[in-house]
Amino acid sequence: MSPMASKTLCQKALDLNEERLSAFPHVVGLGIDERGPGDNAVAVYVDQKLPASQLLPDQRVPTRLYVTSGGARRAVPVRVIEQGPVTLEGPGFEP
Amino acid sequence: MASERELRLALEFVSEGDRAVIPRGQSRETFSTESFRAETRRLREKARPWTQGPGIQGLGLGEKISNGKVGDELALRVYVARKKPLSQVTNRVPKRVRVPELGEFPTDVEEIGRVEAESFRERARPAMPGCGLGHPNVSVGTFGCLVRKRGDASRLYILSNSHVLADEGVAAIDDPILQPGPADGGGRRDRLARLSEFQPFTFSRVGYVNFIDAAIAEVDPGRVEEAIRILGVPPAGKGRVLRRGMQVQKVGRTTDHTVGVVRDVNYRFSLNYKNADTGRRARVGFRDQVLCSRYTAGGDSGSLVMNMRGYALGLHFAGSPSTSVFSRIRDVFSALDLELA
Repeated sequence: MSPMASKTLCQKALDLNEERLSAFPHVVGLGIDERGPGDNAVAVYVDQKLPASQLLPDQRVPTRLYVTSGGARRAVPVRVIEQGPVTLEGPGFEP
Repeated sequence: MASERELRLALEFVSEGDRAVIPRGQSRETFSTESFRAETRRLREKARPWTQGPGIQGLGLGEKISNGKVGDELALRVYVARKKPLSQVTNRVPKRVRVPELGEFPTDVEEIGRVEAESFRERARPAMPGCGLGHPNVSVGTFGCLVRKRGDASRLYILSNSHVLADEGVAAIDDPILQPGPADGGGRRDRLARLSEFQPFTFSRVGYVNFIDAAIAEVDPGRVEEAIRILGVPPAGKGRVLRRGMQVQKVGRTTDHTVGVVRDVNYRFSLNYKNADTGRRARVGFRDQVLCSRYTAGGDSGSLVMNMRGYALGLHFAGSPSTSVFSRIRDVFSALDLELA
């Protein structure tokens, strides 16, 4: 089962892991995926979602991040979301 | 009561006469006789004043509206620019129209204003928010809205992206801004404004330290209007609430008026921009951006993003095949010290 995480906890996990998460291959952005009360996750946006079998173990985005909050170690879920390549939106900027 | 299929056929005969396209499955014997063709040709000619005459904006089908209520009965719809008292109308729409072999059908007149090609790739004077423009070295982007420097009513500026007005920050202050933009044929004679200020980018190999891609260009008040194209009104003010799931709208040079849904208000990402110091593109990381469902396309960069009540929320600047991204208007206004004009 996926751990529950507040928005604040996700924000903290995102701030602490920003550099590490953005270094994974195919990552185009980071954010927070809010799906309802308590159902929040750190969002890792990728240009292309690949099956884990096509990635080396150290190229796989972790499914959980851990942060210390109120003295306790808390798990924050991570969701990988396919976004496609991101570009500026003048017509000269094709992906 | 006539079926939708019968009405579609009636509409075809009224507008096309003997050149009507008969759909498959209809009896061709009935509709291809010489006498029937002659009758439908007469029908088209007789109907011409109220199908193509002055003020007529098109034909269609729809539920008949009487006394403001939508009924169940389908009617031949005649769209007009403006409904006038019958005494002033020379090309009256008959209450019912008889189509040979099919019978009689009710009509309904609806006022929709004048239908025009939405040409925002063209030259517009006065120019308005939502039309295309750009720096001579840039293809084209969108005129976002009119702004002023806080507390200074003497000058008026156009707000858009740095990558639209300032060639990603490598342009010189006072460079001309062309409307239409270069990609739409804009040239030296199409100067609309001059570049006044842009937010420089901070380049970094890691991290997300930038908030906006924005620039302003001073414009002579006589050459612009403040009402946003299509919407016909200026932004209502600055919006405060930004929440996942909410709808947002924009008017842009390429896709006109469209609506998107906010998906992530904590979005951070990076793009490569021109770096004047090295002459190469380098990474610019953005934080606090707003990721939305896709509602824009290339050329919409610089569009003002608003909530559904018309309050400004952000400045659109990037996208992917499935998403659109805007920066918060709060960050744009505080970085460049702006307020809505």
